[in-house]
Amino acid sequence: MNGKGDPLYAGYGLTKWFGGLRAVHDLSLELFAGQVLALVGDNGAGKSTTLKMLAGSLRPDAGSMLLDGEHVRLAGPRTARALGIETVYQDLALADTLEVVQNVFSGRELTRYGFLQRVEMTKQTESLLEEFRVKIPSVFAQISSLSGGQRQGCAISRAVSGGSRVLLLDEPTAALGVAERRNVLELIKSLRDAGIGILIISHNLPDVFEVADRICVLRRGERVGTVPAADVDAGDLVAMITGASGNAAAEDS
Amino acid sequence: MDSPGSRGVLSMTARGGWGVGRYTEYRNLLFGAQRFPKIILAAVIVVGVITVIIDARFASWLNVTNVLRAAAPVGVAAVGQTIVLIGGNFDLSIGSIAGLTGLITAVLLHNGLGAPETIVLVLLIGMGLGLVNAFVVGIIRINPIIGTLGTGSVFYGAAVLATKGVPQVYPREGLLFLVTKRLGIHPSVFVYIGVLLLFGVFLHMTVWGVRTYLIGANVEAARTSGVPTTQTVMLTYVISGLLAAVGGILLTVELGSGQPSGGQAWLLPTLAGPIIGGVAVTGGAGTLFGAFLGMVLIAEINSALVFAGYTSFARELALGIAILLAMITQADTIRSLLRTASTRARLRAGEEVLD
Repeated sequence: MNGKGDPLYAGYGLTKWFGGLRAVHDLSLELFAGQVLALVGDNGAGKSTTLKMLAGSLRPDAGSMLLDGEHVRLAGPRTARALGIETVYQDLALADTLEVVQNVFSGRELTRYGFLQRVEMTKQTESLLEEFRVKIPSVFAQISSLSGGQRQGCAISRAVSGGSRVLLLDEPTAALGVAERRNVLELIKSLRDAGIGILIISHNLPDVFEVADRICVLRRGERVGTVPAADVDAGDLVAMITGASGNAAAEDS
Repeated sequence: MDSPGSRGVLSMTARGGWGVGRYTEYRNLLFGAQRFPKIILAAVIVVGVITVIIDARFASWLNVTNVLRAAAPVGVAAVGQTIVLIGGNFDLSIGSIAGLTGLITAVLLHNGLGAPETIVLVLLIGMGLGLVNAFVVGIIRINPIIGTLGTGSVFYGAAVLATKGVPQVYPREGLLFLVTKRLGIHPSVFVYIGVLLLFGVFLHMTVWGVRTYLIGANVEAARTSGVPTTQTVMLTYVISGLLAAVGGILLTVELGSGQPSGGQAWLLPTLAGPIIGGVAVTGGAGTLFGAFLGMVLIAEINSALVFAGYTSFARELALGIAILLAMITQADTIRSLLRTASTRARLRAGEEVLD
């Protein structure tokens, strides 16, 4: 592998069946602190299933997951969250009618004697968004009044606000304009630089090349290979995804 | 957003004084994305002014306090409805709980129980009935409209069955403190204002209040972010039962006897007040202040119709029109039309529009 030291979070031999359909078979991947791993593949290749297993919302039928080298059993997304594994799904899961602050602190509000510490939550939200350069009109803005990129920025900031170490992103740049996509990619880079281990699912190969350190290619539920992003170009990647040509220079494992 | 001055609270410590900016900061801190119900406040004022032009006595202190007094018992119950609505559910059993608890109040007093003990017991019974709804909707997960319609029918049926529909008289001495006016204002108005303040604090300053908004806005998002959604739903129903019982006690004081069907007319107003006041029937949006203005508007229209010489038969019609008007302003189709129009206007004005 091309990581530095031991993996932060890893899945080995992950397998998932849906009835008679094998969605993912014997998949292994490793996330390293301060690195971005991109998961690419055609529709139905098993990307989302893999992400859901790592996020705790699907239980693998076989295989194991290790956080810091220790086996972890994820009973659900809440368990994963408690361990510092955060997920941002494509549909964002923000509360549209509420302001940014409430969304960022949803489920872990700061309280004293049961009363909300609103000033403290607001300050922390402001500095969090400032740190990650998420530009919004106000932390009191209603989510529904924000653009797609601003929402994505809020959703990602929320995911990392609790001091998480692993971030799983499902199509974070889908349906965004050019400038907004750049902002989200910059955000991902700054999180990487902050030492978070990031997994990103994307259909957009230029985005993948911009942020990923390594790229894991899936085809029909199996891993075709994991390659350093610097060693391949878009043509190689397309070939691996579709299985059009042989296995280029790519397969290192 | 509506206020360019809402840049954040980091400046709060630096900036002194009590100007508009300061007000906006505190308003934002407490109410966040919940908007001030301007339109409904304007409606309350416009209806008031028109009626005063028709008959100046409408503006008399006596009539103003009477309008508030008329709004109070059902208004207290509507506070519970508002909290349930914000949480994304409905409580259609509020009127039945009020009728049953009002009846129990009369029966307990008639049988010689002291007033303080009676009140405590009745409030506990109200919470117990609310807990039944909490189980039906929160745990068994029956659709809230059907579920609370069913429990409400059971509560009402029990009250009618036990009394054969006959009103129950009670000795009034113990509850005189709820009859005697202070400062020219009926005590039920003080109870209403107290309930509004108390549950305003609950909704906007406590973790359970904020979670009520969260489950109403997006229950899936709330669940995945670790909000105990079932417990929060259940809490809203227990509060609703408690406040329906407070309304039931006020109703029994108002009527002078415990009437099994006393709360049956409350179904529409407890929904109409909050909805007219801008509480979203889809959950996650609205304020108690809006619901309060909605109740005041309903009472004001009822009073205005009397001053304008209409019979009480016109009330239902007026209430129905008010609800429809309020729902039209909430409808997605109308909202997107308005948004498009405002964006166009801003583009014409040369403003840069994101998105």
